[in-house]
Amino acid sequence: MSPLQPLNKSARLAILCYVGISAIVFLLMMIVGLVMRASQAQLIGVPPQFFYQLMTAHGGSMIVTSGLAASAVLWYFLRRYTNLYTPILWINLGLFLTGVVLILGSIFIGGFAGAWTFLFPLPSHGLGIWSTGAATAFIVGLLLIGVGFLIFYLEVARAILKEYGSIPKALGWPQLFKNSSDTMPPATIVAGTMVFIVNILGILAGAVVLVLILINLYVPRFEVDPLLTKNLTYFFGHVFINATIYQAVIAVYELLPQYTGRTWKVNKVFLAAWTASSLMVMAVYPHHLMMDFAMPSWMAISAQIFSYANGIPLIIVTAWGALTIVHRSGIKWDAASLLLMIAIFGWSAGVIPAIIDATVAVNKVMHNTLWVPGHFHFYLLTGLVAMLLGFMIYMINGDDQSAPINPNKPIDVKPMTAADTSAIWVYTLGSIGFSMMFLISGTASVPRRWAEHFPEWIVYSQVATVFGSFIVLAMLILVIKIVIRLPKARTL
Amino acid sequence: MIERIFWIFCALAYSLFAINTNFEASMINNVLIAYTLLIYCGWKLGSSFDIEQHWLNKLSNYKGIAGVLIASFTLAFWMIPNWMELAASNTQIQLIKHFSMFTLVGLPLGLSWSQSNFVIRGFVKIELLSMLLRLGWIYLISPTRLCNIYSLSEQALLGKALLSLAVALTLYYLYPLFVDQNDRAKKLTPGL
Amino acid sequence: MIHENVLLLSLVLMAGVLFAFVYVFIHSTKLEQDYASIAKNSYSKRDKLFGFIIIAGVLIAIGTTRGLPYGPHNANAKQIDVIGKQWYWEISDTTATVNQPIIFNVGSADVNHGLGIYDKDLRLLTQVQAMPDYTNKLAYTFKEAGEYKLMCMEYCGLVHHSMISTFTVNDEG
Ligand code: HEM
Ligand SMILES: [Cu+2]
Ligand SMILES: [Cu+2]
Repeated sequence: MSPLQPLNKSARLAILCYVGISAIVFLLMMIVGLVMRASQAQLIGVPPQFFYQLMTAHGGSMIVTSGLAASAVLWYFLRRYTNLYTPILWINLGLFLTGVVLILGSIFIGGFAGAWTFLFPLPSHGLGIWSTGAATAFIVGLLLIGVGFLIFYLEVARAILKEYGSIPKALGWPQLFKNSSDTMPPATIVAGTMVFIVNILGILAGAVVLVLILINLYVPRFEVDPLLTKNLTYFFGHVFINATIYQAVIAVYELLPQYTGRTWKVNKVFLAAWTASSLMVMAVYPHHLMMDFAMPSWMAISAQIFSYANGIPLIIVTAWGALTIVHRSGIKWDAASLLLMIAIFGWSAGVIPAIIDATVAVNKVMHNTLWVPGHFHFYLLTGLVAMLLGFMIYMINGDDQSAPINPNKPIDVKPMTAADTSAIWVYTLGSIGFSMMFLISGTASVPRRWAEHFPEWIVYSQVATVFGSFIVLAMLILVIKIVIRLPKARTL
Repeated sequence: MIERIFWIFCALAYSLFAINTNFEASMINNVLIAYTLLIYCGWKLGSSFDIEQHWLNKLSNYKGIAGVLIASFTLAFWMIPNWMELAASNTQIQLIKHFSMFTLVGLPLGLSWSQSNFVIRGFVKIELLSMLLRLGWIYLISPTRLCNIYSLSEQALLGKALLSLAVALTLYYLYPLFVDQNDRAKKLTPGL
Repeated sequence: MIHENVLLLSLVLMAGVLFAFVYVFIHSTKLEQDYASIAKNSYSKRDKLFGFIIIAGVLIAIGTTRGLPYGPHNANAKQIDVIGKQWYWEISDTTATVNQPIIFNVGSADVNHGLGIYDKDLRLLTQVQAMPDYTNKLAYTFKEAGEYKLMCMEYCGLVHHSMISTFTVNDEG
């Protein structure tokens, strides 16, 4: 591989915008989440209507912002292997911001509170609380964001295909299936390929439903099948949020070898795992529809089996690989590497309650209880966001000259300050505790998306609020540090 | 020159034919044959011009983006049953429809396609697929007639046809991505 | 009860993952130059784990996909129609007797709702989605007399959390 060229000015600026914007939005939306939990705990009074607006804003912004931050990780590392066309980063950002403004406007001006999953036909049933116009703004906002990401992943596809020729080569199929002795494609390429495939298909599904809902808003005689929309909506939602983790994990593959001075070899198991994940991440979405008895039952069964299987590549390849590379490596932990390692733990541990809930018999009593936000907050807070924070801190911690040119050479670590150390551990414990309280609430059958809870349930929310404040506090420290140091971020 | 006249002639001939017969009384003929034919003629006409270096093109049609957008919006417009219905009952509107398929969909695509790149083409393809899926779906499941002049069974048939077309096109678009570009004399995926 | 068992199983497995991470973390700062042998050792353990997971997964999948709630249903069961509306339940009959098989025919007049049956201790016994244009058949047999609650399990708008009805189960005879 040729030595790294510095990021061009425009690309660096764009990446830093992605980092800065997503760090700040994460923080703000965590505060919104805390307000929701505190209101469920009856510590503060939030009228139900406003609660559901906050819920829509929190869910929607968190999902798309995760997408934004994760795409920065993908781009940042992918450019080491391919030639990416910088203006795409700006187009995506422009569409993203326009979309977010529309969405927030629809929620806080138009009163839209249809939840980020916009389940048909709820958007057209605002019953006077939100108008067709507000629903339109929300849908158009999501569409614009979708268009931006579509262009982004098309560019990723173009760049990878140009370098590697075809999807099979980029996924390493010749090495995997034909015993080809060509050098293995790097992990970043494999992950990038998987992500562009599933995300382009996911966005296609999203674009189909969103426009149909939009048409139906104005011309109700164009009828839409609610069950089919549900399928497409969850396909899109599931794929998109999972793909964020598959992008963020690139930072782990790229950086842990640098921190430990060991190599993370791409081998057949790795390739097989990623190919399998590409297929399974698209096949498991019906686990959101297990309580829709009108669905063919083979779909529920296959969703259960694929959901079980989907966890294996993660545990066997990524988690085990990370543990192996770190074990007795003499690593000197710094804030970035520590967060990345915690994130792998959060991801692996968080999928466990997810997989268990993908069992039909369990889903019967856990579906749409707080068990569900429980498992996804676990792997999004302790997993995804920790991973993204690790990447962000890596970006701000390097100074230009000393940044390693050779990706396999050990990195120079920045010692952690007391503030770093405490913020990271408070964040970790806070997020584990917060998600555990959701899981425990789910065990007690507390339904999700309820603005007001029964008195019996309030204690869970109260404890959760305490954990939530820890998260927000720690996040505040980390985000301030990141934003302040952004201008001095690495140039490579 | 001859070639250009030929394509204009084809479009005109078709239009005259359709106005004087009942050909477009069938939804399938209307959408699958009429649209495709007119767009194809316009495309051929457009691609016979080499405008890439023309200042006007450089100014207004960067990488063919404007042309591609005009074409998508026009096409989407004529897929809406209300307008199809109107065109079926009124010869003037029918003529406008033919004219815009030729000059606002086919022609701009022909002028722009060769200038566009992988990302823009990919975008158009995804947009086309999603349009086919949406319409096919609406036509297929609607329990009432969306156009009064067409029968319900024909509407469902068109729905199935559009969905099948979407599936076929998906495979057609995906195939080259699975075949190594370097192993082939002809580049299957231009614009990389 | 299944609820606690699910939590317990999750906690045990998550604790296992945590243990692995803590173990490695504690040993991470010591340096062992011979990475090849660490890797070899680790990957042979991994293959064993892989085999174990596959076997356990297959057994669990077989065990848990029997007796799915999707039917076919008992034709002699008592039929109760439940229609979700923003924001109340329209129920054809709000009583049943203990041990009487019941089929709830669940639908919706407007948006997606979810029918969750809660016992007096606020424990979710079973549920099904309620959606427009479809009828979902939920079979359930109450084992205990008493007051039950039907609550909405799918976000359906601003009064979602108050979409609650009561259902009475009487003793036999
Ligand atoms: C301090 C951190 C956070 C707090 C306090 C928090 C709190 C909450 C609360 C109270 C809910 C509503 C639960 C319910 O009753 O259904 C919720 C939902 C949700 N949260 Fe968070 N959250 C946090 C972080 C995150 C992060 C980091 C993400 C994603 C990256 C995220 C994504 C979501 C999503 C997608 C929903 C579902 C919204 C819906 O049901 O429509 N949250 N969160
Ligand atoms: Cu409801
Ligand atoms: Cu509800």
